[in-house]
Amino acid sequence: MDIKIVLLLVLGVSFLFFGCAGKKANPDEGVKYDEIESTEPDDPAPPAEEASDDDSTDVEETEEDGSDMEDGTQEEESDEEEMGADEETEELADLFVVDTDKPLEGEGFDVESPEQD
Amino acid sequence: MRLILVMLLMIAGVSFANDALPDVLEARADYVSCDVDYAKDWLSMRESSGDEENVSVFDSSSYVEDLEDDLEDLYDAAEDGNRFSFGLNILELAGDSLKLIGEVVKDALDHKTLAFFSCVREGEPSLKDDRADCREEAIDKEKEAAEDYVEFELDEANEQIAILDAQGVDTSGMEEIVEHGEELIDDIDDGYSTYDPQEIRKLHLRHSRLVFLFRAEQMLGVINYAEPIIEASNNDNKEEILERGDELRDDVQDLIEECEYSDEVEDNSEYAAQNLECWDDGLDALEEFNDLRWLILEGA
Repeated sequence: MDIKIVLLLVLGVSFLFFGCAGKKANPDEGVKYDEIESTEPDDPAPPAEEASDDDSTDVEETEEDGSDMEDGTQEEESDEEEMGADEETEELADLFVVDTDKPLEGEGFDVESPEQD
Repeated sequence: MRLILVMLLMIAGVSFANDALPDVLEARADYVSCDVDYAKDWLSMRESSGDEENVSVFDSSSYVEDLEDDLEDLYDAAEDGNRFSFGLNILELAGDSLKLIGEVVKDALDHKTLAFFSCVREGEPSLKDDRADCREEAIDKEKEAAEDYVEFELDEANEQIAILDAQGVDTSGMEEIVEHGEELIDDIDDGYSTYDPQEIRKLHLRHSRLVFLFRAEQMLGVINYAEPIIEASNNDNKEEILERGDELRDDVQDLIEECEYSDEVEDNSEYAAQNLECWDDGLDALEEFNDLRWLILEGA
């Protein structure tokens, strides 16, 4: 009877010991699990059809968005080109400026004094 | 708004103001004042001779007042650096001088004696000496101002060359003219040191020719540079710009040949006549060149 009790105690202590030791070894795995779990979507994966529809919508939207962006870029590029062309034209036109005033040619030395006559 | 901006740029570009201009004009006004002072002293001396020889002479005070007023206006124009006004005042003064000379000639025929004429002649040399001293002072003053004037122009020219060169314009023709301008500065001292208005005028005539040729070379360089750019552009006035630019280039090339620069001025009148012709024909080209600017902007 005493031996049974001792064995039970030993088994109990052993269980407690290994149990704790097992739990102590788990945290790393737990972290890893948490990490893996956090990368998975919260919602369950949709059925194949739904997923397909959504994907197509996404593609369409993406295409639409893409075309919108493309148009916007083209407009911007066009505006930029126009502005660039304007600037270029103005720069070129600025070169076509020349002074039209004739310089002095010694005015003031031609006044005759009375005695010269 | 854009039109106003362009107009402001045009005004800024065309209104070329030389910082040394007021000094040049003031020196010339000084030179003219030597003649006015001489005239006043001569009339005063003539009146004294009249008193001495008991001969009546006409009252010249109103004529003198006119000359003094003209001279005051001339100095005002010089101070403002207003060439246009200065030129008009010079003409006004020349006109009033002629009126005075006419009156002196008329009065000389009115009961004068040989002793009176003799007295006037005796008094003239000292007045002429004073006038010569006065003129030399004015010429010295102008020499300094003239050097500053041309140096300022050369600085401006070099800046303009740098801008055009950076754009890709062939500025070799303009650079050659600047070299002649530097030679002109070297000759200023010798020319002014003669105190001979005719020698000084030679410098002015050479300067005028160089200014014209610089602008002609500037036009030629810009037209040649702009041609392929205009050709490749979508400017609405492309054809007209190219056609008028081509014609202008021919005209400018002819002008550059006809107005070839020479630092030897044999005959002032002949050189001045050539300058006049260059400027007369050149003015049309300069205006056409400026008109092309509007055409380019209009078609943009």
